[in-house]
Amino acid sequence: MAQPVLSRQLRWLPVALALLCTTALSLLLFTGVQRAARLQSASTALQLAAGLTAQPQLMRSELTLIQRGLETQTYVGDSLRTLAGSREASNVAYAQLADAIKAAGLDARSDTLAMLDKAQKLWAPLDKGLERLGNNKTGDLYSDSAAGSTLTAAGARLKRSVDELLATQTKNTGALSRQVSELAALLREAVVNDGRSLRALLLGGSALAALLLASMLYFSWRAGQAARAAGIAQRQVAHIMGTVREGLFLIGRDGRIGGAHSDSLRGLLRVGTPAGQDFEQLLRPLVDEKTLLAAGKYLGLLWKDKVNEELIESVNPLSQIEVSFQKAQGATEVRYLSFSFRRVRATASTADHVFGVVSDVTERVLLQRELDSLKSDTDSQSALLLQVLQVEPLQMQTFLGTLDAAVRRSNALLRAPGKQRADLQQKLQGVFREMHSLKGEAAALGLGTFVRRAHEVEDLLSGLRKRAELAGNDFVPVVVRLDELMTHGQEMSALQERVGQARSTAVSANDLPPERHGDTAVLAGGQVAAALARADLGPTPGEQLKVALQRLCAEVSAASKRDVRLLSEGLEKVPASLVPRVREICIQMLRNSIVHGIEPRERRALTGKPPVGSVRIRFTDSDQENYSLIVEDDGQGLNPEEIGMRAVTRGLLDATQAANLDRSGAFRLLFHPDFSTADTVSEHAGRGVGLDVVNAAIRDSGGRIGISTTAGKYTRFKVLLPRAQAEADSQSSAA
Amino acid sequence: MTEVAHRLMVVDDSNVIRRRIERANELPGVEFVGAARNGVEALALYEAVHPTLVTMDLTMPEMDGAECVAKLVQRDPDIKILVISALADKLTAIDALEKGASGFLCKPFTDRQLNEALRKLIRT
Repeated sequence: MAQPVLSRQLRWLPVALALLCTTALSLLLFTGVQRAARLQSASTALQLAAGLTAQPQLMRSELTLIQRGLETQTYVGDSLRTLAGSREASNVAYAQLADAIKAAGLDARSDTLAMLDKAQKLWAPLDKGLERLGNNKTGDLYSDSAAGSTLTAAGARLKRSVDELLATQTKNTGALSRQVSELAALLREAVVNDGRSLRALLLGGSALAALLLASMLYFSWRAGQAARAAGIAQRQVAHIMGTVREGLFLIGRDGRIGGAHSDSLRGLLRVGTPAGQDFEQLLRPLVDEKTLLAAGKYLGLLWKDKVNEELIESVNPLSQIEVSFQKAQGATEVRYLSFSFRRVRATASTADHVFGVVSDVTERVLLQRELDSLKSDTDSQSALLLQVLQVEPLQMQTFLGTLDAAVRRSNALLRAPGKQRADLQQKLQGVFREMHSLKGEAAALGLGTFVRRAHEVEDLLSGLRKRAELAGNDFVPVVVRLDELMTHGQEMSALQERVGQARSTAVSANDLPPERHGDTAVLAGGQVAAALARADLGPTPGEQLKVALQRLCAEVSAASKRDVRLLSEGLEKVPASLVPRVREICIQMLRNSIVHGIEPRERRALTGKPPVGSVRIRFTDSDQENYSLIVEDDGQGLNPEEIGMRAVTRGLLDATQAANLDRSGAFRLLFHPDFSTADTVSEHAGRGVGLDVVNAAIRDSGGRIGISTTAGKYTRFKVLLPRAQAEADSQSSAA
Repeated sequence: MTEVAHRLMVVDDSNVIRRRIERANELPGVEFVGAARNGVEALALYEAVHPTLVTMDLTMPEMDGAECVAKLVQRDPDIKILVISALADKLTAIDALEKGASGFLCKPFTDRQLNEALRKLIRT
């Protein structure tokens, strides 16, 4: 639905328009009222002026009437009264006219005032004359005698005055009439003008009022739309709040839960009306004291402006909590809840909230547990059996022997005297080498359960290695793990024995060819087992080594997502006494080649190499003095600079030393116990022990190792093992 | 917009972590100004280099991280401190945050996580 929502600037437009219209309208009305008042005054003035125009003529007629009357001795009292009344009225009219002109604002026009002034000046002598005329009249005007009526003295005086007035003012009255009628014309013009401008004002006012009305209508339409939209939004929010499975709520600064929350909150917290309740009080019966304390403090942190809420999520003490609810029959129900909190910043900081989300993660937690237990079950049973079935019995026995020896040597190392830091570090290093080597052998045979256990011991040891202080007690968990490793070996041994028995029974019953069946009867049980063992043994130790390395190659390349082919040559020629040593060296080198040397398929494709990488292992015994073992891969080669940088990261060198590092110095670093170029620690590489083990094995045999490499092309390790030493070893082990 | 220079001090008793933070920092405008091995050293170094950003280990000899946080904030209320620690006890971390730190990064961490945390710290 298209919402009638205007942009921010446009939203204020109608308001501004309405305001402007109202102001203009008020101004117009005010001006209109003023204009109307002026118009009223102007028309009053016009009326007065029009009245005055006829007065001079009227007065002259009356004066003439009086003159005639006096001459014929008729009654002139009425005319005298009319004249006096006219004079009075004219004087009042002149005074009012001046006021009206002022009120109409016409005094600003000089011609109006000048005209009024002129008219008043013309009126003044007439007024004086009339005044005198009025004053003259005392007593009777006529006296009757036999000869007829004659004028009395007063009558004669009046007649003189009238005659004089008519003689002097006849011209004046004409001028006065003209003057007043001119003024009236001027006033008429002003009235017409005022009327016109008032009409214009009214018209403008009407237009403005219409505009105002329009904007009001628009406003109310907008308000209606907004109210409708708000209503829809409110219904949608209500739907969301009613449907969402998470408990959504707001916590105010007072720690109380806000009125709007999702319906699920009630069910999740088992509270009828969470709104208005204190969040910590709600939590109190659900969690322990320490978690409650931490939760209170954590929520307090969210209110602090200095704290970055994204950077404290990991310390949220309520990210996963176990809660128990009391059920009706006294039983308790355990659920797992996960809370997360976000600060909601309102424009006014007092209106801020913390937005909380709570969800029930019980299913997830239980599923995870189930998976974990399934995994360990699998680990303990089927994995063991599978391993027994997969590995050649003799190889398994050899491995178990190696395991036994490695654990014994490790225990001996740990028991050896020496509490100094250096001693303890040396012990750590020694056990580490043993475990790493053992892990390699286990991986070569595909013995996952042993690889995992050896890796766990390594984990423990590397944890210890990082500690600033080491005490003898710190090694207790290592001893426990070693013990567990040994027990696991014994379990394996027992299982192998049982499988061996089952196998020999099955073989004796079915698998032997019928013609030899008769022979078996004469063989003692032990001899059968020995024969079977020999049959199982089949290949020579050198050939077994070849198979083991192929297996290791497959496993490591799968784990490190590389495609690698192993080509071995001459391994069958390795003298039996040298096999364990050569195996140890080959295992580490092969792992290193795959993990550090061979590039991922895509990268190889980019550099024009064949997609499948190859590792070649060649053993030769043609030399008189030394056996030679060459391990070569067509991977990325060694980069002395990278090695130097890595050494700085590992804390083996400082920046200056790294800068001055030469090629051979860099390669020597590869054999340092703490060095590794892989980015992650996996079961197969990354702890920096691999080449350390190789180095130790070569040193023990009195041999030496050389490296040749070209960046981007290949890395070749050549190991020389003296024949003399090998023979001596073989004799001593035989003895 | 002008580039605001942030001066970063690292406080950790582990050589490895100190070097890692020093090397991992690749944020523009953040300059590494010094590293201290414990709280006492950190306070002395503070007077010399006046950092604006600090990464702080919690468990250290001499003076622990939380106390050091409190003292640094006393000296400069605007200083931004990122507490870095293994998450054995959330309450300890929360205490350090209450004393004035701005954020928390859990050990172990990757370079990317560190840079991200520093970026957020600057934005705080």
